[in-house]
Amino acid sequence: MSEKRRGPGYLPVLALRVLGRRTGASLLLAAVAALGVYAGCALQSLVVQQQRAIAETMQNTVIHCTVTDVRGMNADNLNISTAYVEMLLGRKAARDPSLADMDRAVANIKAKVDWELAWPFGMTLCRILSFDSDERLAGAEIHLEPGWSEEDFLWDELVCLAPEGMEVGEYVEVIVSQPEASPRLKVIGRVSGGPDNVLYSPFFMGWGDGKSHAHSIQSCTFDIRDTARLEECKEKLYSTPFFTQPSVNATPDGFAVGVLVHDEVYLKSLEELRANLDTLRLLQPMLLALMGGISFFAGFLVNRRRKREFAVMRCLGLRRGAIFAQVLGEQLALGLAGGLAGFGAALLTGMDIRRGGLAFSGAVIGMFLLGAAVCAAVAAGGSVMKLMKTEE
Amino acid sequence: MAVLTAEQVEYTYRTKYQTVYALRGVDCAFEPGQMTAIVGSSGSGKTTLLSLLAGLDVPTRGSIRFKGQSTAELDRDAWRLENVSVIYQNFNLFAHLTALENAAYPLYLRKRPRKEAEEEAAAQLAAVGIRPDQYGRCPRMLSGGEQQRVAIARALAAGSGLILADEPTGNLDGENSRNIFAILRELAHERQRCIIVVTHDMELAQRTDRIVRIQDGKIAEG
Repeated sequence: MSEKRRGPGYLPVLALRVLGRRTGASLLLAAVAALGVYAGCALQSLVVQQQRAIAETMQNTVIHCTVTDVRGMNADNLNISTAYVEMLLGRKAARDPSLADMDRAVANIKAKVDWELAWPFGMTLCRILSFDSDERLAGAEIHLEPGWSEEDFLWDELVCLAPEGMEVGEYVEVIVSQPEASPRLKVIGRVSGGPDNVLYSPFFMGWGDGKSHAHSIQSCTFDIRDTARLEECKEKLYSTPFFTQPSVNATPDGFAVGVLVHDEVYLKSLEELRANLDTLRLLQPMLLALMGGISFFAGFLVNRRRKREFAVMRCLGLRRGAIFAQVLGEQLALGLAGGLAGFGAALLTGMDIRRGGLAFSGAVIGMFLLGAAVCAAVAAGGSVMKLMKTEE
Repeated sequence: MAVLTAEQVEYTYRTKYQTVYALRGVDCAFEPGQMTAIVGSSGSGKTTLLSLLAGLDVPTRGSIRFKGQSTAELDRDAWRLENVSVIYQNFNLFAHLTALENAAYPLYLRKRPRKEAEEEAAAQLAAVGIRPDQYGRCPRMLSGGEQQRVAIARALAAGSGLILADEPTGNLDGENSRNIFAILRELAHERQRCIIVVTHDMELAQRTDRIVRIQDGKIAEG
């Protein structure tokens, strides 16, 4: 009777059929796997939701900025003209992958020009840095003079763009109240489609009394997703002579200008969301340990009750390895069935399943298999004589 | 000629508190076509001897030889699969398999095609008096006597030359016990199987060809 045949034979099929007959234990194990997978997906989904909320907050939160002291300037004529810089950089970045971050930064600055009345002179404005911050520039186009390209442009050059219709020569002469600021701005291009009386330059420009007042300012681009960069910008702005920490009680100081970046709500929201995310991430390994533990013991305990069955198998001549493989196969089938059910439930309840959820589920099912494997290894590895004496 | 022999077999094992000398120098031989009863009081070592004869373990000293070769040197899993069937008092059927699947199990193990295996198993079930309408029943739906018949059918289907039975009628009434013994006797005589039965029932033991009495781990008679 030594008719060894190739192939697994009917036993694996029979083992799977028996799973269907062993309803209680099979359902229990599948339910544990399903629960583990569902819990993992649920937690991962919460993580994804928090991440999305953070991204949306970063993307959509409007950060208002206020210039609190613009003494000596005529509010009607005051313009902030750094927009072209951002525009140039933005366009440049669109073509240059190395500047992609800058491009994103420009694209995501959502602070809007926000004109408000504030100080005795009746004006507070919020500068802001991006091209799309000024609706008046929405349809504007830049035409650079020959010899200038966006790549050539440098931050610190005293240059400007003039409106299409403005009568200026190669340079614009401006009266500057601060001697260290240059009064001559080289015109490097023209802007069509924007306001007629605005020079686009990294300067505060005041046009009044037939004279121009220009104040060189620092401009700083920040990505609202990058709070470190935002802080850097604030520090940079406040450190220049024309930008001071805003204070309504400050002694009038000529042309001192303070910029207040109203990012408290934004930062607080972000902080809360990040704290939530941290908590969820902390919960992940704990849940994994819990569900993994439950899965392990479920697999272990259910199979522990089968010691006698394993002993009979051994007695009939089934090898330890074959028993081990059979138990693992059974558990894998139950784990996969339960896992699929868990995934199905997660999908039906609208969860966002990502790679993290899949990894978690894999780990839970792995623990499930491990429990069964340990039990099978112990049971199949023991003395058959002792096992046969095991009470059912 | 003896197919299975025990030579100076000793078997000891340790419990938490003591070392138990279960067998102390057992010598005996078993032949095909013969049904042997091993009798003895509880704890005398008869079940231990049967387990060693079945290759479930190896002696601490001495040897069990199958056709002259020590079982300690054999691949005992493969050897049991091909040559040994064990029948137990509590039947040891798989609870979630039908009578037919239980009887066919050794053939599944040998990777025989399902249909072929189940035809053979059905023939053996019929031989031990199981009705075809009972083939699809799980053990819990069968009486004790019927379960033991299924266990015997499993041993028959396996085609093993050695059939070892440990108190096979322990859970059965008198009539069923006598029937089971009759089946085993017939197997020994008509199919030339070597049948070894452990029992404490002397009346049943008298129905076998030979009685080996074991006492305190030694052969006292036979």
